Amino acid sequence: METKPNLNIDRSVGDFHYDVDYEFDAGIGLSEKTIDYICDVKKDPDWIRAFRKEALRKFNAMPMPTNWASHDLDNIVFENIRYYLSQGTQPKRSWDDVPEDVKRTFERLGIPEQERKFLAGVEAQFDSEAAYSNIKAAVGEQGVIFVGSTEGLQKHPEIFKKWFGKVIPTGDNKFSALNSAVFSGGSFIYIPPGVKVKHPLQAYFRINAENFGQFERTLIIADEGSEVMYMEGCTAPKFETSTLHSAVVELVALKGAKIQYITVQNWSANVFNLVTKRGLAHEEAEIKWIDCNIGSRLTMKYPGVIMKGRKARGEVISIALAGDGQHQDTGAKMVHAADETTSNIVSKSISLGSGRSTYRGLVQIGRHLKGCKNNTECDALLINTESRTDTYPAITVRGKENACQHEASVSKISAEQIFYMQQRTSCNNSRWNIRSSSSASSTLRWKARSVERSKVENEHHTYGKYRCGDIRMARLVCRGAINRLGGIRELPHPVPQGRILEVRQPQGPRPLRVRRSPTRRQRRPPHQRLHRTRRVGRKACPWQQHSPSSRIVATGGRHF
Amino acid sequence: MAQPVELGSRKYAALHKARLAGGAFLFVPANTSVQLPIEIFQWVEGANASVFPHTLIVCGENSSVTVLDYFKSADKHASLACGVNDLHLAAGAKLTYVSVQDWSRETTAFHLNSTSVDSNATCTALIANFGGGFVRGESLSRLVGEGSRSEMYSINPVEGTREIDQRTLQDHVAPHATSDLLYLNALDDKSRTIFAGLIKVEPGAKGTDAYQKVKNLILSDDADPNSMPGLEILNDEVRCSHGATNGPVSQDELFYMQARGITRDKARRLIVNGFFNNLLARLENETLRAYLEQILTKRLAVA
Repeated sequence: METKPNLNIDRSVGDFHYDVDYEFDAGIGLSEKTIDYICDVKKDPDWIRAFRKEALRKFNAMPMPTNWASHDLDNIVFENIRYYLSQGTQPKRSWDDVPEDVKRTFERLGIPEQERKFLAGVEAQFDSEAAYSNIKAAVGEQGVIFVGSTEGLQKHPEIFKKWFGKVIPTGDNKFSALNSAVFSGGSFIYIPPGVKVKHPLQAYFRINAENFGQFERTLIIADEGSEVMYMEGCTAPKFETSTLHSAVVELVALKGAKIQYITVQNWSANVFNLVTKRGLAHEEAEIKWIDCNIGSRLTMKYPGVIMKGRKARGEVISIALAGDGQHQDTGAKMVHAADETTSNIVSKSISLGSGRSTYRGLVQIGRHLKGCKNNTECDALLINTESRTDTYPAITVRGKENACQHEASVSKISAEQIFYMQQRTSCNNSRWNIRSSSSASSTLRWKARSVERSKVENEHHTYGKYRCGDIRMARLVCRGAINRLGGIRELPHPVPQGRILEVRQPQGPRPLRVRRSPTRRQRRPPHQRLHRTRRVGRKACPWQQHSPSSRIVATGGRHF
Repeated sequence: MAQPVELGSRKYAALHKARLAGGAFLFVPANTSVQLPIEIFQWVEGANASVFPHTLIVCGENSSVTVLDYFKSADKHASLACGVNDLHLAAGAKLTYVSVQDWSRETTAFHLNSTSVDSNATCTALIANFGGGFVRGESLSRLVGEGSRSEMYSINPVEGTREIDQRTLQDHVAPHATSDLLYLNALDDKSRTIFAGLIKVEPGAKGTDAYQKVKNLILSDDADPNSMPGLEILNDEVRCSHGATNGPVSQDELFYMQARGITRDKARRLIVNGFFNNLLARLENETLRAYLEQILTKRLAVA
């Protein structure tokens, strides 16, 4: 008998829709007139108008990539899409100024509340334009620029023009060309040299209208030695017709800079999510993508890092969940173009029901480079018989002083693993929250937890020198983002009994302090405490040494 | 000979069919065990000559046989080879097939291998590419019977500007079948290898255990290894993994040998030899293993 697990994911949180009056509407379909309309509304300079038109030409000339990608792409009808809808191009600096009909959407999604709690800046995009954009005064005073792409283009042309379209050329693929033709919204961020933004900057992308295409364009430039964490979340109401989201995100990390880009995508199941994301890492810079794909009908997204400078680092952590009718076609691209560059890819996917998850990866290490390293790990979990998973890595490593390894494994949850957990359920069900009546479901939920946990551990593992606070922060941020998006409820908590009791303003180098109630172990007198470390827990799992995918399951062992 | 050609060389398969003039056909009746190996030699001679060798092996139920297929050039001229191997294993059969390809350095060669393994049969196919300027090899292994097993091995020492382009497909049609693929490439000079493999698990193939691994040993900065190991899995009761590794000769190992009076060059060749011997160690037949080790040693000029 086959049971379909209840994943405890609430996709309905973002599924609501308020009627909104749009001041500007470019109509249905795409032509030069559409572009002229957008340029006129946005008061784009001439070079942008020319750039858009050139991109439109490329878009029309390029074929759909269905020779390797899903044929579902053929179901996108470009003539039926509305390419620009807004209530005005100027975002508001205060929530009080945001029109009521737009504001209630974001209130319902909890954005202003999150901002008050722990964000350094927020941009909230509603269809084509940002409705709200603001950063905390203290961050702004350091010279950090965090505005929409339109504002960035108008107010900071000298930085904008230098990097715009340089990481991802217009003709990179058909959808980057489409984005270049009609882009609107997205963020423009500049972090001055040496500035470390302690709190994350956040953007929230909301599609409200039917038959709409959202084409945000994000450009983040971290100047020498600076650090920034950027988070984005996405939701849309579910319509009968399909919606298109096609973003282009370009990151530039100059010497020694660090950028972390976190995405939690929970689009409704009618959204085609076709996104191009790439970062350029200069000397000793680090770019890290954390990409979490829960929603959408078809996602095609392969965040990449071009390691251009010596000792640059790139990392992609990709988590995908493909439910019924979904295809998560995700992956990573790592291009090593300098000596001693290192990259790491960790991809975890779960396919359930008729869901399909695909990993596509590219690892390139050029010849005559020395000491480059790549490590790729992808694990896929299949839940039901009709679930599907594919892995297509392409690895070209030249030069005899480079090393690369790729490993992937696919498995279902073994009876042994379920038994192992069930055994422990009886004595410790409060921690695991596993209902023995539905082992598959609980296993999966637990799996979802360990996926997230292992993700963070991997960060810890890869960058040992990261401060504990950073890791906890990332966890917190991810969890917060997912919760807010109506993602996984009761999501993976870093602490078994963890409840965030207090969120304080930062003191010293740690961005956030989380105080937690003492665990049962800590409450015991010292001589009764069980010093079972993760290692012990691992040893207790006999299958753990054999299959990589089992290893994730075992990472939870330390909480026993 | 009715195997589908699915890996891209349809044109060359058609050419082979059109020009097919010779080859070998081996039929092993049911319950027959052939103790001594059978050797097949395919030769090409003369400038711009072309050959289209075909090897067809049909193993009856519960039969067993070992076949060595040699492809050799009589001289150093450029030539074209376009060969097809069809291996059919009925239930319970056991076949060890070794292809020793040693065309001249100027030869362009296409080798299309297809294997069909029925229930509880085991096929071990080893392809050694010692020669050829440009070699395209395609190996399709279909596991059509329950409990079947297919082992696909390849060793490729490449140097100069030689290029070995290999495509594989492990097609799991039947449940509880096992396939194991290990391809080893050692690349020197400006050589190039391409490995594009796919494990395909059809919806009915529950209990599949499939493995795919390609290892590239890089001996020069200009070598160009490309790996594309792929998985397509349409059933949940499976265990599939694949791996691709690239790496240089370990400096520690070189130092160890140099410290013992072995020249650096020879040490390197010994390491390459050891790299390939790991694979040969998987062969069950000891005589065959020793024989192949000897060929390899000679080829790498280690002795």
